[in-house]
Amino acid sequence: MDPEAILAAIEQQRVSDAEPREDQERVSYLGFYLGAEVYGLPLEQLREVARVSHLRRVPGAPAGVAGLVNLRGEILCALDVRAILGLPAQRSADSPFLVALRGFGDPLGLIVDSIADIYSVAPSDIEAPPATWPPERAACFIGTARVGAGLMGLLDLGRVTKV
Amino acid sequence: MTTAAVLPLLVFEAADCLMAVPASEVSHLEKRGREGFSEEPGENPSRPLFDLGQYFGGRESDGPWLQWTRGASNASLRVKRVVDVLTIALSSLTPMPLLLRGHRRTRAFLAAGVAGNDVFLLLDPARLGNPSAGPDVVGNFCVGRDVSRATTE
Repeated sequence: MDPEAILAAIEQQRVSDAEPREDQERVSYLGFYLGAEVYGLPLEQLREVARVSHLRRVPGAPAGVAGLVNLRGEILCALDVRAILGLPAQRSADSPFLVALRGFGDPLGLIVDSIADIYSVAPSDIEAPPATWPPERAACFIGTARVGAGLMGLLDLGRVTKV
Repeated sequence: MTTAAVLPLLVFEAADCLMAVPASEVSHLEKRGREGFSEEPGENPSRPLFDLGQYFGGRESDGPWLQWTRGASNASLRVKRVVDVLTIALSSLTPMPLLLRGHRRTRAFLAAGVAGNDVFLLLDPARLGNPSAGPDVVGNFCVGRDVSRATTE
């Protein structure tokens, strides 16, 4: 998905937040892929999306920390969502994306494979994570929602960022 | 008129990473291996030795030893290679994220900076092997978000 389109969607979300609407309880999520699976995070916690050209590993860091990224002179701590969720590591020919987050004390971002779309999810559409997921993985989600790309895991960023 | 606080840093490669220490804290380099390591007359014979490759990555470094000293603290640091000396504005350094500062191994990194397009890690050798080391001080400066409060000793 074009980063410009994501920024436009963020702006649209801000405008819609300021206007009373019947479907105001719906929340917009940025959907992204890890392998073939789609995951989502609340759009209001998204700052920007960028391609990762160079990731500097931090020796001795916990497995959930992918490294540090220089984003136009600002240094962000990039988290390895795959490792945090216990998913197998995967090498891709394409450079991954950095999903920069807002609302955290430190500049943080998530390393993801690619961007899916923006999905509007009503609270009534959110279901518990599948019982087949390991408990430590399920604890990283507020739930799941059925979207066009399949079952989207809705990340609990408060948990995910506690590496 | 105010001038930005700047710090010359010795940038080196170790554990597949770019690291730096204040250049003023490195007295000299020594090429000899650990076995042949010699102390200067009058130096502390109990100077701790850290092969940074082994310490962080488990792989031995094959480059020079840096003789690091800050006040009463000192250490010999083995690195893969010395890259350059860069003069960095303190305001351009980013304190390490909390989740790394609280971790045993990465606690020795105080801040990160940018050299060209790459990121380097500012190392406080006093924290190597000493997880309860003191405040975040590098050179004569405290490392924090508000660098205007940088203090001199």
